[in-house]
Amino acid sequence: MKKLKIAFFGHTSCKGCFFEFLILEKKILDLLRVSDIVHFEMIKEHNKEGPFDITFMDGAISSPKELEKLKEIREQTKFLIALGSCACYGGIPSMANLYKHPEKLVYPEPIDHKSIKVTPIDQHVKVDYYLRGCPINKEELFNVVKDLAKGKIPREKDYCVCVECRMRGNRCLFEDGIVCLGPVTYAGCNAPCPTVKAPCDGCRGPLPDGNIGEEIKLLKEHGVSKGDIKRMFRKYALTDKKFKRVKI
Amino acid sequence: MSHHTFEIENLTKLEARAKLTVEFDGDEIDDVNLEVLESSRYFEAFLTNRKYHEAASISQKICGICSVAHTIGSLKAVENAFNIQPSEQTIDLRKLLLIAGHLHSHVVHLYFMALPDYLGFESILEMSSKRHDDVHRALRLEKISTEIIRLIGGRPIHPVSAVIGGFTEVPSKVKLETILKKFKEMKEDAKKTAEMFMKFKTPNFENDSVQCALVKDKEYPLYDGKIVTLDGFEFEPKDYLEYISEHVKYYSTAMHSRFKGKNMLVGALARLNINYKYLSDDTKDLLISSGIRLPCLSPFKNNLAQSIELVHFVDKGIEITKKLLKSGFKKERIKIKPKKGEGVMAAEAPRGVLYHHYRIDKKGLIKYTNIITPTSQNLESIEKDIKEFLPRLLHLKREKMVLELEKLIRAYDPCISCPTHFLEVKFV
Repeated sequence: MKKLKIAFFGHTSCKGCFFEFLILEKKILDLLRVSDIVHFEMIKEHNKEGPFDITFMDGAISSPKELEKLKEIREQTKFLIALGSCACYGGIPSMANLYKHPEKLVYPEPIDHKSIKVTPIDQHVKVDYYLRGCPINKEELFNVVKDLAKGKIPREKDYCVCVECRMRGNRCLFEDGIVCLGPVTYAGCNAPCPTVKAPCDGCRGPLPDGNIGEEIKLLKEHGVSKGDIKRMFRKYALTDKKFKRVKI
Repeated sequence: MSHHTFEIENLTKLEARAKLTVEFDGDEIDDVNLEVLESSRYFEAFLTNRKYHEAASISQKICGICSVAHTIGSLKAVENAFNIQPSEQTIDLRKLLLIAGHLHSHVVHLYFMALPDYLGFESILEMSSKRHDDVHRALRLEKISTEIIRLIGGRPIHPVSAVIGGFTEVPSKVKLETILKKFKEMKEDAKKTAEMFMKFKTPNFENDSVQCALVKDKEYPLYDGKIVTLDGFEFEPKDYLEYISEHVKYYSTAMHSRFKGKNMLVGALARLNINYKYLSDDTKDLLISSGIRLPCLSPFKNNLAQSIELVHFVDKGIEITKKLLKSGFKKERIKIKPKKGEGVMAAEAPRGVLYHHYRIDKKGLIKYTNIITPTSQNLESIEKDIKEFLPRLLHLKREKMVLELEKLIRAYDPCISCPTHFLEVKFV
């Protein structure tokens, strides 16, 4: 069997999703049996150019250079995976889009600086799979490569975090008066946050058929102010139409 | 020879992207620019008008490798603004998280970025067939350290259970016992790592950077303390703006910081130089056998300092976990009432002293944020070192020269994502 050529590229992000990959331990060695990591600047001195069978594209796009690079890599890639919520939705860096001139808030004097709108990668190129989350789930990453190595197209989970949370036997946080975005957020993480009684903050992004109206009603019933509800939805996926259209 | 430029377009094996440009005037080095290519992410801007309790979960995303330090740092600064004093058990648990975070970060840097250079491999991936034991040790240490973060914090990267005033849930006795077992499992591997790094030869090169680390009673620094220089000058975290200044470099998205106008050095080597007396007993033995003479002024020895710290932090982790197992956890009720206030904190992140500073209004909205990361404090020294070290390499072939320069830069373990939270300046 011919080994899959895998590449990792990073744009605007914290690189935390790369570390999720590095903590796969022995599974990294399993992956190396079916694939060659040919491009990964964070850990490799010699990095090859394409073609690549699979590219993990980390980070949001926030500069013309990044955009150019993204398009170039797409051309060289068979199966492009958006790695993490920055690549999938713009993520935390896209919070800059809420400000007209974010640099003015952090810099006391006017400077020669051009702001660029922070965008997810699928606004520019076709994405074949979305590894959501801030950070991603390492098991999901492993399974995706395993599927592709077997010639199978991986499938995303199309239900909400609550399903996995209940399967872990957790008591619903709402019952204890803790508000949570689990009902409207993509599953696939296995609900690590509500398992330690920390509410889901929606890092995997909005589920297409999630009932946002009902979620907002629930939040209001629990005494969450309009401003706080707005802030909850404007965190990881504020470029997403579904969260953008939220009427509170 | 006239004016010419030497460039390394893509420095590899760093946490994120950077470019090095050296300008020559004849044979003389005119200027050295370490250009950080990461885009700005404006954290200080978009924390404005967020609620106080969101500061930790947002600012932890400054960095994927030291997110524990940013999380705890952010919580501490908000607590200082509200005059909240967390309980001893909360502080102990936070220390455990920080320790696991330091271990994770050091392992990534030592094994995935630095070690291949020393052994003559392109990457750790290339080592997998030839240096089987080293690779397995690296993967084991990496897995266990993040597993400890997960057991306490709920997730291995970007933990969630640490909140203002305490924890959403404290680990059960069974979990604490697992944590203790995991720390103990790491001990041998940590020692082997330190013993390996002791043997590596590094260039005889020193710098005059002002070394700074936290000092707290008779503890090796981690969670809090005052800032102390190698010369013994000290100041409180709340006065940081009087001593630490931030500067814009037109070619870089990262800020450079200086201590009273001088280039500085923070991180494992500075911590070791300033606090070696408070290392665990086993670590002290190792230190003696390493033959390293303190204070050490060679930035290349930062890797060795990190590997020595691995052993110390494992010991410290064991000590704190045992203490918590003995005392058990009391149930705490966390009730926070936001009020107007200002809070500054300093803590030791893996790469050195980290500052978080917030001003919060009476509704609990953040109105001002300032974050100074360890790497921004080291960048000025990296450039200065390159300028001074490069003349020794000019006779080498380009490939070898690049490698030697990269070794110097990597020794600092610069975490390039961190200091780019500020601004981007374009120049044409």
